[in-house]
Amino acid sequence: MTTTNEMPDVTDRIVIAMSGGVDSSVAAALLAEQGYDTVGISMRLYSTPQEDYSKSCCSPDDLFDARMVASRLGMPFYVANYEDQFRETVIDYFVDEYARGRTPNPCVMCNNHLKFDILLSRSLALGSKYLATGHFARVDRSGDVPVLRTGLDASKDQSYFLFGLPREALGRILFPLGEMTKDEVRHEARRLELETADKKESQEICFVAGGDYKKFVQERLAKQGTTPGNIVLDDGSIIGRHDGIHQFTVGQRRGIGIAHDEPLFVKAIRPKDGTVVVGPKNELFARGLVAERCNWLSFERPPGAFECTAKIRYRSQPVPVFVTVGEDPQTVFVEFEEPQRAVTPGQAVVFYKGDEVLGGGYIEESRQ
Amino acid sequence: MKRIYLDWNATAPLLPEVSDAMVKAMSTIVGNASSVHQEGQAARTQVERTRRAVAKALNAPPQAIVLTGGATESNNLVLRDYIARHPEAALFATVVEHPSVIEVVEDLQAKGTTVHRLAVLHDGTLAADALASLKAGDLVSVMWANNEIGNIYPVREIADRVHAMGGRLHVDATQALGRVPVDFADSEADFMSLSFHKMGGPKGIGALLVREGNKVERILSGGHQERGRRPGTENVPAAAGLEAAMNVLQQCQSSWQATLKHLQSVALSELRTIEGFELRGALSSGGPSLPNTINFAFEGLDGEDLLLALDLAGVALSSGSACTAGSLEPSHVVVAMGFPHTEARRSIRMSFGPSTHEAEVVDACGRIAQTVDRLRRI
Repeated sequence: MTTTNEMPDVTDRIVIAMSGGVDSSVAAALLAEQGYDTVGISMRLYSTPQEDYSKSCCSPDDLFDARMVASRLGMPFYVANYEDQFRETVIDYFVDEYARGRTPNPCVMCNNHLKFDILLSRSLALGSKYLATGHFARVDRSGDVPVLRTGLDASKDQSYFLFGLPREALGRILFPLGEMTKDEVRHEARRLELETADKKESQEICFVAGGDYKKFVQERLAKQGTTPGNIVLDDGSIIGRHDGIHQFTVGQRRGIGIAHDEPLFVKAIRPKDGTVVVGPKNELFARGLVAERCNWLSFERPPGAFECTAKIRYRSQPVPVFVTVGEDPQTVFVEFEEPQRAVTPGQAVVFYKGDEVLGGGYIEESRQ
Repeated sequence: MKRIYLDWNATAPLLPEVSDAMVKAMSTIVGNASSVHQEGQAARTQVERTRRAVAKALNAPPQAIVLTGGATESNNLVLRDYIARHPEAALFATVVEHPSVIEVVEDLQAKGTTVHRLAVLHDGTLAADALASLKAGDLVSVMWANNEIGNIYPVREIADRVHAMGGRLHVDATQALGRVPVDFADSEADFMSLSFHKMGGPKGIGALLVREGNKVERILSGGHQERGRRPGTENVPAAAGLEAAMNVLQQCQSSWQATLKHLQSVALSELRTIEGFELRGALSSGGPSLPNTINFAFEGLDGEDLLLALDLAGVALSSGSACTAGSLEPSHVVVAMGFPHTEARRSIRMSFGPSTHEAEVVDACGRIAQTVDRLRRI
C-alpha cells in the first residue's frame, strides 16, 4: 500500500465516501470546488424494508440523495454493494456482542472494516491515492508522519470512532470537515444549495430502523437463543431473574425491573451463567480497565508505560490515565486518575495527547 | 477524453430515423387512437402502420402482434395468462432467462405451479434431456439469445421437440433482434416477446407475438386496446419510432450482422493479447452466439473494480445486473453456469452495435489493457 504524507495535488483524483447525509455532501462539494478530480462512492450496506423508507440512513433514498449531490457537482458516482461484508463484520458482531453481555460499537467496526479497508482499496482501483470522508476529525500532515487529531468542533468530534484505522492508511485519508463546526457545514450546504442541506442527523445505529436496538437484537437472537439468569447484588444475593443478558448494558439504570430501597444500576454482566450484577450508583465506579485489540496511530510500538488522557465512551470527556502496555502491544492496563463510572466491556477506549489520537482498543473488563 | 459506449445489451442509442419519427409524431399526432374523430384516426393509423411494419420485419401476420410496454411486460403477460388459463400445466424455463421470466416463474411456483428449471453447462449451453418430463399442454420458455453471455439457443429445434410432445413454446427474442435474423414464422415459437430499444428503437414499447391457434387474455383491466389483450392508451410516439426502427431493420439486417461480426473479431483479437484474459459463454467453446456480445474476465481482478475504473477511463461496459440503487449483484447467468460467486463477480460484458466504430473498439481494448495493468500493480 502506498503511504504518503502529502496533501494531494489539485490535479489528483480523490474518492469521497458519500452517505447521502449533509456532512459527506459538503465534504464532497468542498473538494470539488477546490478543483480536485472527485469521484463519489456510496456503500450499500443493508436493505431497508420498503415500508420503512424514511427510518434509516444508507437506504436507496439516501443513495439517491448522494447521487443527486454528486450529479450537481458534476462528479462520477457509484454505489458499491458491501451488504455481505457489513452483515459479517458489523451486524453479526453487534448481535454477538450483546449476546455475550457486552456493548458493541458498530461505527468503529464499520470504519475499520468497510470505510478504511474495503473502500480505501476500492479508491486505489479507481486511480485515487486518497479517500475522503465527512468525519469531524483532522489528519495533521505538518510533521514527518501524519497524525490523527480531533475535529475542531469539540461537540462533533468523531475521532473516537477512528482509532482503529490502519496506521499506514492515515496519509491517504482526508477529512475536509475537520476544521469546521456543524453550523459552518450546514451554512456551506445552503451556500452550495445542496439537496441535503436541511437533512436530519442520522441516528446512531444506522441499520436499526426505528432505533429499537434491543428488539433488533432480540429478533436475531430468537434463533440461537438468549442467555437468561439471575440478577444479583454485589454480595451474591439473588434479587430477581431476567430472560436474556443482551438487554443489559453496564451503567444502565432503567429496565432492571426490581424495586429496591435505592436506585440500582448494572455493574457487571457474566455471560457464562447469565448473571447480571447490580448495585447502587457508588458501586459503579472503577479504578481502571483492561483493553485488548489495541491499534496504535502515533507509534509503531507504544512505550512500556505512559500518561495521557482517555475516553471510555463517545459522549464523555477525556480523563487523565496511566497506561501500562502488555508484552503484546495490543493489550493495555489503564489506571484512571479519578475512578470512572460505568466502564463498559465492548466499548472503545481511545487515548489522546492533547488533540492527538494516540490509538485505542476495546474494553475487555473493568478493574475495581 | 472521448467516451466509448459498449453497453448495447443494456440499451442502444436511438437510430436517427427513430428519433426523427418520434419527434414528428409527438408534434403532429394529438389524438387518442381509440377516439372516432380525425385526430384519433391519425393516431390509430400510426399504431396499425407500426403493427404492419413489425409484422413484415419479423415475418408474422399483423394479427399476431400485441403491442406492449416492453419485453418485461410481454413475458409477464404470456406466462401469467397461460398458467391462469391452464392451471394444470407445468412451466419449463432455462436458468439463464432474463429476470422478467425467472421472477414470474418463481411467483407462479410459489402459487402452486409445477416448475422445471432447464440447467446449462459451463459454457451456458443447454444441458441435454432437459425436456424429458414434458407433457402435453405444458409451457416452455427459452430465450433466443442471452443478454449477458450472448449464447444463441436452438429455438427452432426446441420448438419441434416441444410440439412433438404436445407442449407450447415461448421465446424471448429481445437480445437477438437486430443482431441475427429473427423470423417468427420460421421459429415455430407459439409466443415471442420483444422489445426494440436494444437495436436503436424506442424504449417503452414492446410486443408479444402470438401464433395462430394460441391465445392471450389480458392480465391488466381497463380498456379494449390491442383486441382486448393489452389495455391502456397506445403510446403513439413510440409506435411511430418503432415503425421507423422496423423499416431500418429490414434494410440493414444483413449488413449490420456483418459489421458486428467484424467488430467482434477485432475486439477478440485485441482482448486476447491481455494477460489473464478469459472468455465466457458459447463464444469460448465455439457454439452459436451473438456477434455483438463478449463476456470475459481477467484472472484475479474483481469485475466491479474493473468496471468502475474503466468507466473513469471513459469506457462504458457492464457487469452483473444493477439493483435500484445502482449497486451490483453477480450475474445470475454466470452463477448458473457453475462459477462460484467470486468468479462470477469477475465477469465483464462488452456489447456493441452497428454504429460502433472499429477505432472505438480498438481504443476501448487499449484502455482495458492499461487499466488491467494498473489494477494488477496495486
